[in-house]
Amino acid sequence: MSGVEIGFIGIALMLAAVCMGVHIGIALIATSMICVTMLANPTLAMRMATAAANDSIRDHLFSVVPLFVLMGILVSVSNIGRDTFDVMQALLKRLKGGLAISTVGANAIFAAITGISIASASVFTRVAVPEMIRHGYDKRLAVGVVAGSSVLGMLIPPSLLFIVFGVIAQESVGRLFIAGIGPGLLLTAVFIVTIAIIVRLKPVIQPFSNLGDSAAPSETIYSLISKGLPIFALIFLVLGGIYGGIFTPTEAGAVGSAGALVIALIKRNLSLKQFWQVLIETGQVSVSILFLIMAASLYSRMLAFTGVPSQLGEFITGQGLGPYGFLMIYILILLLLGAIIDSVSIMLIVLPIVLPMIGIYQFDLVWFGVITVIAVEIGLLTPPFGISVFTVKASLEDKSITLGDIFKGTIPFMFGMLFVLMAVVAFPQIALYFVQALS
Amino acid sequence: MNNSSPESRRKISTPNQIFGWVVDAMNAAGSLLILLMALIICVDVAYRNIVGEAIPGVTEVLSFSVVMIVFLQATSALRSGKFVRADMLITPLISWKPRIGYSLLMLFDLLGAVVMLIICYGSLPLMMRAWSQDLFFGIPGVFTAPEWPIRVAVVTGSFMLAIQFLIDACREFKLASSGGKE
Repeated sequence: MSGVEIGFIGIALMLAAVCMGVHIGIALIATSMICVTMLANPTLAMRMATAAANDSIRDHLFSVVPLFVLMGILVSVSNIGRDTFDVMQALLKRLKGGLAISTVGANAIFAAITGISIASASVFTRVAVPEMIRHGYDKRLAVGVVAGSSVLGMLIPPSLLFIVFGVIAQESVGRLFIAGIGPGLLLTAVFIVTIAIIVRLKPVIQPFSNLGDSAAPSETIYSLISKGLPIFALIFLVLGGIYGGIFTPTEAGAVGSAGALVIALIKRNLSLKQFWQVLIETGQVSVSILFLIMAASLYSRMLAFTGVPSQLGEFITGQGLGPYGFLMIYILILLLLGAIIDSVSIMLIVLPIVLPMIGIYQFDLVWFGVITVIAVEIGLLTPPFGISVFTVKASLEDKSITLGDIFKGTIPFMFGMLFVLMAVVAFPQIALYFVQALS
Repeated sequence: MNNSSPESRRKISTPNQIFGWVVDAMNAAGSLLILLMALIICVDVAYRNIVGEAIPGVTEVLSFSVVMIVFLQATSALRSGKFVRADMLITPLISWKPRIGYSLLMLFDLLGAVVMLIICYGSLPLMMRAWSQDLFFGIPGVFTAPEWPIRVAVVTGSFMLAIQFLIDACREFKLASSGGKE
């Protein structure tokens, strides 16, 4: 058998194992070892696996993973999300559908200090969903808005997905972060328009806050400033620090964590026990990602060994597939995988095959990264496996809302994301404008 | 033993529990290491902006820590179900045909154990060499640290992962043979 044949068998075997429920990291390592054994011998397979385990993640760049996860979890326990929502709500409550729009707005701002969507989803499920239901919003709309807008967390910088893309594609994380701003703002606007349309089409929903705001404390200018100040200080610290040249995007996670910790301590809502819990959770979440990155590095070395990426590239150019045809197939594959597995895994599985090919089409790597991240993020919302939807479900107090309700509620927002994705494909400037303007 | 009194049963911890304590201790060490990393970076950023030069060795210590964290905490992540897997086929299969479903899960976990044992075995010579030849990393004269602690972490961590996979496989074997009842 030729190397390429073995490579394709390996990819098929890996996908089958992943779908059947083998731990994704183990599936990647095991198929890589089998393929290398078939190509060469078992000793080399063991040596490559050992090298991957010992040295592939031995790079200070990977410290961004635990530190951004730490920052994300810290800001989600420190009540910053609730305060942001309160401020938005006070500003927008006269609007039709104001609470839902406040949720999107608060998510967009919160996204500027968190790089993980599960943080946004769990915070706003607890903060915004009860409030929307109390004001007579349709339950599906309430949970749909929260799950849908949680994707902003990983599109508006900082973003864990851009970090992972940057690490694999060896592209500057700072540039990728900037490229996320345009599409992130556009998606926020699209979500707001979507809500405005839904609220007008469905009279069932009662978006006017005709309940007296007896339960919610009335906000004064002073209380709004004191609630809004911490998050803007944190945004200023993180983004200002990165683009002011004080620290690198890699270091922003550590500085942001320190900032979030200080805010939580000043506001006195973090006990030592909770802080320890935060650290334990950070460890478990980031290690499962780092383990995947380690496994994927072995898998991509195996693929390079088989020659699949270059063969596939020749095949695709041989088909006379234009750049847009190629992109459509690529996006379709990402969407399909997004229904089955999580975002980081998709990127780690697909990028080693695809990245060697994008030179053929002379795509801008940053633009390609933005397309990848948006497409992969749609997978956060699509059944059967949608992490954001699962997180909303897990954080809900109202257990009568089913997973199905949440999936249905997110459908309009999924279309909003598809729209933005197509817009970025058609008009690369949406992503690249800020990159070019700022560099 | 089934006829032992509750008191005596409470005193004798099962091997699984003892293993759990070791896992928790390693996990705690990893969490402290994450905190330490955050601290080091903050100090480095402050120092660089105030004094104008980087602290030597920070990059090396960070890269070293990432590997340490993974192998200190991976077993804990696996034990608490944080390892990523797609359960869209296996979960319905378990409720439809528990014996087949749990047998498959057992096979998958055995595969995990085999993979981790191979990595553990392959890393042994690296650990021995790092120890006997006093290998170090970093730049001589600026910053150096011994290499063996990383290798020890990889060997122990992958061995612990293998054990955890075997523990899971045992539980699934019991579930498979009883048809899904604990």
